[in-house]
Amino acid sequence: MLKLIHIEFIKLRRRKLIWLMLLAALFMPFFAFLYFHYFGDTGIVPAAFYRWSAFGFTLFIILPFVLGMLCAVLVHDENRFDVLKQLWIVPVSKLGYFFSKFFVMLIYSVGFMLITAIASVLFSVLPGYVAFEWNSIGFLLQKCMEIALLTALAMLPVFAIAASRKGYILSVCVTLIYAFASFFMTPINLYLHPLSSVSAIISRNGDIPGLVLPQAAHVPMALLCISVWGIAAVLFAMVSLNRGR
Amino acid sequence: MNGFAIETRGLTKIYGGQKAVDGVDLHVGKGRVYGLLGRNGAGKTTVMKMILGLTSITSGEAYVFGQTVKGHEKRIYPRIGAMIESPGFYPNLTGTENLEIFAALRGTPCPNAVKNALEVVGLPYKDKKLFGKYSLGMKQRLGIACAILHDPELLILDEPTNGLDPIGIAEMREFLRGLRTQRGKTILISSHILSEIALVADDIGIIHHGVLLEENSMAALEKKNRKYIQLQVSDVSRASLILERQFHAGDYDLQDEHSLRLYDTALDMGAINKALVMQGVTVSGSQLCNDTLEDYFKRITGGEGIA
Repeated sequence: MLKLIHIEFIKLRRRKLIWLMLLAALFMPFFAFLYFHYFGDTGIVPAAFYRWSAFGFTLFIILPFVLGMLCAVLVHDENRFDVLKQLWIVPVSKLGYFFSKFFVMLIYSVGFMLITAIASVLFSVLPGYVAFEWNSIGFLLQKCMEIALLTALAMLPVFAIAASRKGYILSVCVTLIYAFASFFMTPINLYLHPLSSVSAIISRNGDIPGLVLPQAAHVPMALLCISVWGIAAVLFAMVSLNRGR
Repeated sequence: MNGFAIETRGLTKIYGGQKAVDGVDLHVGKGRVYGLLGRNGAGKTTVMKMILGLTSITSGEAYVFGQTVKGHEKRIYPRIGAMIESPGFYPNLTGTENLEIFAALRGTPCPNAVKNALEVVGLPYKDKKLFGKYSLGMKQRLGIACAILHDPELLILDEPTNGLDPIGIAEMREFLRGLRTQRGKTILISSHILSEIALVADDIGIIHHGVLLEENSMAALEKKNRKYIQLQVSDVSRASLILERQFHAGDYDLQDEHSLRLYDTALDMGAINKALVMQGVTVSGSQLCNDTLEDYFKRITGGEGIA
């Protein structure tokens, strides 16, 4: 598997879009900076700043959309340039193929959230809105890593659709619908949509100010939701990859 | 089955109710070059894909080294090198980088495998040119380099000379011959170009509308090509009458009003000419001809022939 993951990264050489998408990690930290600059606040509770810079739209919209785009990029070119048939006769297993790409997505997600965390610290501490504290930075890093890992898992259904090779546009559209569906479903039920369940896990301790959930955070239920969708996604991907032959 | 690297039995593929391949029985002997010849859309690629397990088989069986590919992929694929349709590689990587990926995936034991494969097909090693910028001929060469990268026993090449210039085609021919004669490789090659196949193959299979019309060795096919005397005369009906009455010749074809093919080449051409002229039939031409492979293929494909 490690070899497959390494090869997946080699395949991404000279793909500028991959690097450009990482810039999206700076968007919400910068927006939070502008927001607090506008109100002229200083001495803000770190979690309040980080809620804007890392735990809000980044969790619900930006990271899922970026990961969805990455799914499409990872799968689309192999399909478009007819590389898959070469891979199957190596042979590369369908499961290995799927999970090697998933791990790339997972590592990318971690990288994205690390950049978000670093940018959040820079945009909050350097202008003096938030006092420098190791504790709050540790809290931010922990939450960012949780978001990175869980969101990557929650994106498995989108990745499975991308792996079914129905085209780039469909993958992007599904990503948008998937992300917005979570945005709208979270106030109704936290355990129907994997991304809503991620938000339930992230805010399980009630330590993110301003993030109010409609239900009590029930971590096992949230994990079950992510797992059920994830398993269904892997099965769907296996069926469609086999059918593609 | 033992002597065959590839054997198919009643191989059939139906796409949406339409038979793309119909009961193909193919036999590729070990250490032979088998040319699968057919027009575009005849079903060559589908047959190759089914043999490789890249597309499902509607009915029939395909054996590679005596085993079905399905269920034995890990044992069979490392023994095969294939290039089906257009060579598929990553456009954002160089040729060397692309091959390095496949070498790593296959776990190629030879450390210089990529360099050697590129040298064989005449592509530079560690070149900076990206695959996306390659010409069709270069892409084709890289596809073949990828197929031979792991030194397989069996090569399955679908129209490998597509996009190659005449020199490239000749080089490819030499290369394939060398693989067979010097290294004992078995090669299944498809093409719609008769001359190309005729120069390189030991055995030929002719596929037409999904049906394998003929499978034979090249030597046997050449034997089948009939010799005949082509006569250009003023009146074919009178000429045929003279041939039948005077020379007892029954094996002939009337081509048109003025030409006739006489297949009994043992007859004395001089005597025939003399008899025809004496009886008022003008002979404007007579020569001994050989039916070409192309004529033969035209005949068995019902006149459509090969491109």
